[in-house]
Amino acid sequence: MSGAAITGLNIDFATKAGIHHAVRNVTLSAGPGRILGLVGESGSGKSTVALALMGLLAANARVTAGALQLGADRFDLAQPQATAALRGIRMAMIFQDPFASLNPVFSIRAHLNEVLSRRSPDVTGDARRQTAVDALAVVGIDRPEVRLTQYPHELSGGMRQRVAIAMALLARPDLLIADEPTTALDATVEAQVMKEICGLRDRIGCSILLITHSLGLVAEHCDDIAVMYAGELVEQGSVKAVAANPGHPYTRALLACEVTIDAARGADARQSRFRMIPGDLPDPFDPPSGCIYRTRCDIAIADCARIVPPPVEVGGDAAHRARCIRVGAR
Amino acid sequence: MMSGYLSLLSDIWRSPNGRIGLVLVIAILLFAIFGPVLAVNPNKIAVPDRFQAPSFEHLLGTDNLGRDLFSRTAQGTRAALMISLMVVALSLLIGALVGVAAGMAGGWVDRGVTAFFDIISAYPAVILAMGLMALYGTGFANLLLVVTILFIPQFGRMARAQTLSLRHQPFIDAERIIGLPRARLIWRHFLPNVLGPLIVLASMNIPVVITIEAGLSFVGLGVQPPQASLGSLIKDGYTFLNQSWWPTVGSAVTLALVTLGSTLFGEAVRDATDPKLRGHHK
Amino acid sequence: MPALGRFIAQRLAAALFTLGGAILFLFVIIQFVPGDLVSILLGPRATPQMRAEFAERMGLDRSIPEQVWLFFSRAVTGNLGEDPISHRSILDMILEVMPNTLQLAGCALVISVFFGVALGCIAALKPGSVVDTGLGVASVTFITTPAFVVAIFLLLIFSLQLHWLPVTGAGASDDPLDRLSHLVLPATALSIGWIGYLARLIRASLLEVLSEQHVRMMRAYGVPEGRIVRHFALRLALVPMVAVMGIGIGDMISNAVFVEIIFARQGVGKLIYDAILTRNYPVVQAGILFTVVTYITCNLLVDVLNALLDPRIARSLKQAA
Repeated sequence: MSGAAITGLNIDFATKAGIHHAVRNVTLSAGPGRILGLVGESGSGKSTVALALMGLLAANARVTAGALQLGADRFDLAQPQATAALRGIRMAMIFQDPFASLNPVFSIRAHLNEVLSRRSPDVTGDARRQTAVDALAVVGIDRPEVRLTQYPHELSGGMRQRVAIAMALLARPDLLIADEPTTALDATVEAQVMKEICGLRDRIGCSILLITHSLGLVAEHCDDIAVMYAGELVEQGSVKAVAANPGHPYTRALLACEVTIDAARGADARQSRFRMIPGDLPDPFDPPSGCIYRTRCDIAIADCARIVPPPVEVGGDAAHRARCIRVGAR
Repeated sequence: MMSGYLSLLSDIWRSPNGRIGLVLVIAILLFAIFGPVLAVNPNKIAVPDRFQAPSFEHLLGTDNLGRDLFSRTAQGTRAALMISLMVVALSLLIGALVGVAAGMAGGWVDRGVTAFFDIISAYPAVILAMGLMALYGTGFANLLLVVTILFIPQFGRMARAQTLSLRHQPFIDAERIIGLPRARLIWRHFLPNVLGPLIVLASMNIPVVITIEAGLSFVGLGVQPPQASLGSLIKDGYTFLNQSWWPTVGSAVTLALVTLGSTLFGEAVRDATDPKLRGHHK
Repeated sequence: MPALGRFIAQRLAAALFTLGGAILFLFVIIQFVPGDLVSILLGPRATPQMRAEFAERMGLDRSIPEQVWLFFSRAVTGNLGEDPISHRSILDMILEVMPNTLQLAGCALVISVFFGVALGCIAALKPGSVVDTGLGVASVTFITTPAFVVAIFLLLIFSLQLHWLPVTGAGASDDPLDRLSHLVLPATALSIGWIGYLARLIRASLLEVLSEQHVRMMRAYGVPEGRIVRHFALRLALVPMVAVMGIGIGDMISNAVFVEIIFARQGVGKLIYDAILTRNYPVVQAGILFTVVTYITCNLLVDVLNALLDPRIARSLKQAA
């Protein structure tokens, strides 16, 4: 297991209103055994990046450029079926809606068997059954032998997501992509499911790309963070570094939006109103010149309209980069 | 209200199927209304002229007794439309009343009504209709009654389901607390909400009734001679298939077009009034 | 699978209850027919002696509840009465022609499912293509044209004009090829409407299933597209089809009457029709009863099949954290 890196990813969507450059020049990396949290608003392109890696984009989408480096192997993502052979073997994915992830007319066993037959074809019969049972037990599902014979509608949302995690476990991928895995679950279940996902990292040492819009989740579980805005990557670095010293004004604004809970009083008494970032996402067919964020930025200057900001080191940390020409300014 | 209907029509026009349906329905209506008026007397027998192919004088030819097929087909179309509209209207009304009553009353009344619906639906439609007509005798009133009975369960079930889901809505409780008498409750609140989907169901059922009536007439248990029905015309043609196939083809094609047109139109109405699909048209 | 067993028992009870109600309904209908009951049931040909015998056998002198009991017990034991004309057991008459009807219906069912599913899948896998639009138009036409109209056209074109296939009858009983040639046109006529309906249904169902997240999940695990469609998607897409078949069988039974008449096939439908023409009411009554029993049984089988295919139906939801 030696990590995953994405370089220069560009994705276009062909729509009735024209070509939408949904993802522009995204470069990020998830170190071996590390969890990278990819955050951004709805429409920032984070899910699109994930689908592009798996080769599951819609018919009107095209990867115009980009490469995936998985360990020692390099894959050209512009080729339509570049990563098809990796699915279920070196890459796995957990989806957002647990109630829709499993086929209702097939048992849990059928789902797990499908993964096993592709990943470990030599394991058959009783050994296969036992492997499936063990996987269910490992992710914290009670009475795994019984659950194996049940159907998805007999399991709760949290359990179904655990089944999805079990499937990922059985696939033993180098890279696991989790697309908002807990958005549809309530808080207590979310904690349990996140525990299992991080557990995967411990058990099989894969890199995890966790896509989410919740900074809280990233702060608690991720090692690294990458921030996307309107199709571009604006900041990347370790969670500690970025949280302590955000380089990009968007990241700074996002962190300020988080409502802190005062444990002693049960609510934040200091914050009497909610912070927001004023403005809307830019028109996808008519993006602002220069920096994509400048129309909502609180420290924008004239140069921001002329220069597309390159990644700049923040705070002397080579792994922490932000794409802003005024890094550090307030 | 007029604008509501106009926008409905324009929605129907927008889908290709709806367009065809609308055109067919208009053509059929014109045929049914003006056909018998313009053409020759449909009952005029002129045996020497039998089995003629279509000509200027007899647009669809003549049948085995020399009667003009154009006017007979028009008469049959008229009968089909009238009967289907009456049956659908009657069964809608009776079904709605019975269904709402069952939904409101609950308990044994409800169970009895549901059992009644289930029993009627346990019979294949045409078989029951044939049996009832055979036992109770043919005749226009009987035909209407029998076919209406066949469709009451459908409307009744839908009305009942709507009522049950409406019963527990807060606004109903509010009205009841104010003291609105039950009858007014039903008339003012339940019926309007229930009628909407029922009318859509009615428009979908018109071609079904037409087909059943044609089938019954085909076996001689529907519209009686000398009245023409599309079904009996087909039967007459079939009997003399060896002599001339024109009578059969003319009426069969007409029946197919009538059912096709009313089905497409009915589906277009359903799609246009479906709140879930409305978004697509805007 | 105890849950499935419970479900079947439940459905069986409901079916028996409905059957009981239907038989009672038949009894009631006959009672209300205007005129003398014995004349109605025996027809104008009855002699006074026959009438006396009949009245006694029917228990018309007994109380109503006793008559109901007689009716029920006879129906249940298969005693459908005697044909006034030939004095044969009506049950025997029905059983004699039943194979023809069964073959017709069975053939039509197989044809409908095969072509309906196949065409629906083709349309779903290439949505918006010429094939898809063409099939859409064809299916609407198939669905709306009444079966007996289709039957007449088929008869006209293929039998009378082209002489490709025989016109009437069911064919010699010992020659399977002959029987098959007599089955082709009637079975086609009976199945056309269904092919159109199923094609439309499967198309919509499969398109919807293919857009769902679990299909994406399977793709994400590298399952080949062919296997996804054939194994995973199709199985789910077929579920609504079975649910719909129950009503369809009723339609098929009804239409079989017309098809048998048009193609002069001796079957249960034609038997009922001939009996209506000759005012042979005992046969009419027995025939209707037989049809109802068949229909209710078929619906029960369809319900069970549905529960077997879709695990959500029989098994209750058990929530666990």
